[in-house]
Formats: sequence, C-alpha cells, structure tokens
Amino acid sequence: MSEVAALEVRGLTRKFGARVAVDDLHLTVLPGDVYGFLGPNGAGKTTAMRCMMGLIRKDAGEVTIFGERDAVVGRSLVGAIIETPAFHGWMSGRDNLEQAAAYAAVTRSRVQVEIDRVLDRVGLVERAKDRVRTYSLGMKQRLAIARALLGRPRLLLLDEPTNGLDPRGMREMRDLIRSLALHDRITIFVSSHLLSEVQAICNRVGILQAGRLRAEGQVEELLGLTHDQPVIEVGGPDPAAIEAAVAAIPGCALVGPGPRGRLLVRLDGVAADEVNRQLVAAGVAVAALVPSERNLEDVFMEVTT
Amino acid sequence: MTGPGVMGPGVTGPAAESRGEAPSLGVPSIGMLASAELAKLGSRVSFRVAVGVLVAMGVLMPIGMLLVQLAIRQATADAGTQAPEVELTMANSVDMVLRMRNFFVVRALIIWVVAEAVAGEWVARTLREDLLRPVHRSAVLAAKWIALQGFVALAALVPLALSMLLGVLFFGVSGELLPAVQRFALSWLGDAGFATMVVMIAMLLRSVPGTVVGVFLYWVLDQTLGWVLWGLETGRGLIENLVERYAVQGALSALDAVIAARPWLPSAAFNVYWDFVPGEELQWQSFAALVLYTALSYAVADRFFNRMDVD
Repeated sequence: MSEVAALEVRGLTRKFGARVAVDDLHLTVLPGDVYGFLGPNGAGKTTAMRCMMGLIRKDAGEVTIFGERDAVVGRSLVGAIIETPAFHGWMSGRDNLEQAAAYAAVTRSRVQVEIDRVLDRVGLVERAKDRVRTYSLGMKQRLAIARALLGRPRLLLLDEPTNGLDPRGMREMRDLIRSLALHDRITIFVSSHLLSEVQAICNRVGILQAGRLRAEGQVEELLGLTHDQPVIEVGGPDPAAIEAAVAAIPGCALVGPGPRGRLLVRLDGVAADEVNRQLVAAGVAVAALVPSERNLEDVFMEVTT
Repeated sequence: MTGPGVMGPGVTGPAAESRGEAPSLGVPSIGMLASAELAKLGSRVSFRVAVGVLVAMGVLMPIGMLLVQLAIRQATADAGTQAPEVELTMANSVDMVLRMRNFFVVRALIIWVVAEAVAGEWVARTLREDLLRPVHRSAVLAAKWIALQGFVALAALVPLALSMLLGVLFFGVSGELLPAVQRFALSWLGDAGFATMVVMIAMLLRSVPGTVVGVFLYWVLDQTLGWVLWGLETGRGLIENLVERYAVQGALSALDAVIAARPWLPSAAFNVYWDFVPGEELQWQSFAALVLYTALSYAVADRFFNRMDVD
C-alpha cells in the first residue's frame, strides 16, 4: 500500500478577479519531508498556503492532510505560521499560548504541561511571563513556532519563517526547523525565497512561478548531483557545436544552459573523460569540462526565467 | 538564554505517539472557545475601563442620593421647617442608576468593547491565527458572541447589584423594587440585541473606527426614521384633511401602515424598556422586532464571516 501523503494538493486554483494567483497547483509532501516551497516574491506561495489552511476560498482543487479531506479535521494535524505571526501584545507569551491551546483543543488538564513543553522546545521559558510587545522579532517567531506546536501537529506549515531575522536569528530558526524534523519527526513545509536556506534544510523542493509549480523533486535530483547520473559543465568558443556533439554521444543528455555560458550535461553510464575524448574527436573545441557546481539558485534561475 | 537549536529532543509527532502521547486530533467545543474568549476579553483595557465605569455608576449614584438626603435633613433642621417631598428609597436608587446607565453610557461601552474584540482582531490579524486551528468559523463567532454577552450581562448586573446593595445600606428596604428590576431586565435584553448588531457592523467593516462610524450612521438613520414617523403620527389630522380635499384613494390606510411601523424600528426594539409601564402589557411589536433584529444581525455576521477571505 502506498504511503499516505502528509500534504497533497491537487489542482489548487485561486483567482483575484482576472489575475490567477495560484494556477492548477499540484504537489505532494511525504511524511518526514522537509519540503521547500520556493518562488520569487509574488509567485503565489502565501496565497497557496492560505488556501491550504482554509483562510481564503479556493476556486478549484483539493487539499488533503494525511488523507483527511475535511479542512477542519485536517487542521488538527497541522501547525502553521502564515506571514508575520500576530499576537495579543498586551498579554504575556504564556497567556497567548493559553489562548491558542483552547483553539488547538488541548484539554484543560494538559494545558500547562503542553505550554511548558513548547516553551522549552523553543527556548522561551525565561521570557514566558513578559508581555509579547516587549519581545524581539526573533522571539516572536519562536513563540509562533511554540504556538504552532500546540496540539502536537504532525505537519508544520511555515511561511518565510526567517523573514526579517538577523543572521543569528536565521541560524537559530534553521537549527530549530532541522531539529523539529529530526528529533520530533514532524513533516515540514517551508516557503522561502532564500535559496541557500532551503538548500541547507530541505530534502525536497517545489518551485513556484506565476502560480504554477515549475519543478518539484529531491534537492539532489534538481541539482543533478545523484551519483549514478552526475552533471558536468562543458564550455567552449562554440556552444552550438558542443550542443550538437553532445547530442551525438550515447549516454549523454543535455540538461540546459549552465553558468558562464557553459552547457550542463547529464552523464548516464558514460565517463567525463570519454565525453571529452569524443568531443575532441568530433573537432569541437573544449575550453572547460568540470563537474557541475550548481546550487539551488542556478536551478531556480533556470526554472523561473 | 538557551538557543532553540541546542535544546533536547521534543516529544511531539510520531516519536511522542510511540510513547502513547497521541496528537489531540480534536476540534474544540464552543464552550472551550467561549471560555478562552472570555479570558481574553477580561484582559482587555476596554473591558476593564468599562467595568470600572459600571462600578462607578452603581456606587456614585446611591452615594449622591445619600448626600442629597443628608443635605435635605440638614437644611430642614436648620430652617426648622417640614422636609420637602423627596422620595429617596432603595428602589429609587436602583431606578436612578438605571436611568444613568441607559443614558448612552452602556451603549457607548458596548460599542467600544465589541469593536475592539471583533474588528480589532481583524486589524491585528490575531483572528487569522485562531482560524489556523481546527475550528469552524461559526464556532469562533459563537464563542466571541457568548463572551460579549457576558460583558452585556455584567453591564446590567453590576450597576443593579451595587445600587441595590448601597440602596439597602443607605435607605433600607424601601420602595417598589420590582418595576425597577423589570426595567433593568428589559435594558439587558435591549443591550444584548444592540451588541449583536454592533458585532455585525464590526464584522462587515473590519475596522474599529469604522465600527464606531457605522453605528453612528445607523443611529442617525434610525432616529431620522423615528422622527419622520413621529411627525406623521402627530400630523395625521392635517394629512387627513389634505387627503379628503384631494380625494387620494388609499392614502390614509397607507399612512396608517407606515405609522404602525414605529414600534418595529430598531430604536424601539433595542430600547424596549422605554415603553414599559409597570402593570401594563409590553408592546409585543418591539419585542418581536428585538428578536428579529438580533437574529438577523447574527445571521448576517455569521454568513459574512464564513465567506470572507482572511488575510
């Protein structure tokens, strides 16, 4: 039997007048994934996440959470942070969590234990009794994570969780997300436009542009870094000649344009030195033939331009 | 302070489940939500100031009456004359507090408290955080409404209890208390309906100042209609003469139908105590209108809330 997806989105569409903000979005997040939801500003990431959480109406499509189609029951399995988290500033962090605990259906007898647990988890025990309006942005983000953890969710939806944080805060947030996935085994769905951040913490990514998912897969796959099918960069004075010669080499597949005007070539059962030999034999000038050093930014630029 | 990245493993998720600590997987009851909303409402500045005003009303009026009584006695003793006919009783104390409370004070407090609790949460986006939870929007609205009705109840009971207590202390058990208590109960009902209408306006406008302006516009419209109908009723004789002179068929019956709508106006509905005379029957139209407007306001607020996108 196939594994039930933590989050499955099928044909999600949302329009604002004539503008299609999310266009027939399909994506699957498997249990245990740390899924990076990438896209430039305005790509529709937050709109899609709002639709997934039922904050805004969807024009078409279906969202299931651990196989649960009912949006309300589905939300009992999710903790979410959408955009900048909001709190009752005049209340303490603990009082805010007490409010949220009621909405997360935490029974009265377990509220204090649960709050202590999540405060400890995000390192906010010492400041829990202070008013939230005195918290720094980083502390508010951590309090938001604590709030999302109430009710013991199996999936966390985080919308740009490091937005506005200083480098130290970003590092702490990344560590926390990794730890939640690793130690607590919570499936994470995190949107971001910070590609290095996503590459550092995610195992799978989906790239959204203009409301449509342009690419989805394992980070290694997208980077072409799998051991059985490595990717190399081939450069020379005549890229068109290289492209034609590569197409004629068995076991070689052109991936697309790479950095510095080079071509990206996937190797399937053929060694790099053999490719070089055949290119030279075909009379093509080769100035560079190196293992690809692509990162997610390269993939992102390829997919979104 | 300890950083989050270096803390020990948590206990959520499947790891926790394996230890028998399953996720809650529940949907909170309206009771749980209402209790949380009440706690939140009670921590708001608007609520605390409002309760302070209510306490002050319930205390200051009987004290004022006591001072008046003492002054009268002193003046009487000084002049060696008979005391003037001023009835100062416990029932009087309750009635005076009621009049003071109903002179816009409680309605203004209701507008403030409701606007902050409903529209304020839209603006601050804390409503969005609540809706990320496993809750039906109708349940969230019901919880907020129940909490606000708790405040409305306090707005009736606090001045009533204080004025009765101090009235007994200062004037003994005296006067006819029942009519005053009945008027308090009717005021409470009217306030409950009025608060529901303000909830609707706050939901529709989603802004605290907008809610205040919206209620003001309602009030202007309602008062204008009331004056127009009152004018028609007062000038009916004159209109009757005109109708007879120009022989306009059906005009009088249409006029009477319009005049008969007066008890159905929101002002009559939300102020059912106005027409209350002890021992006489209440105007059923105003009661029916109160129920109608309250139910209608709630239904509109619920429908709107369920259909609105929440940013």
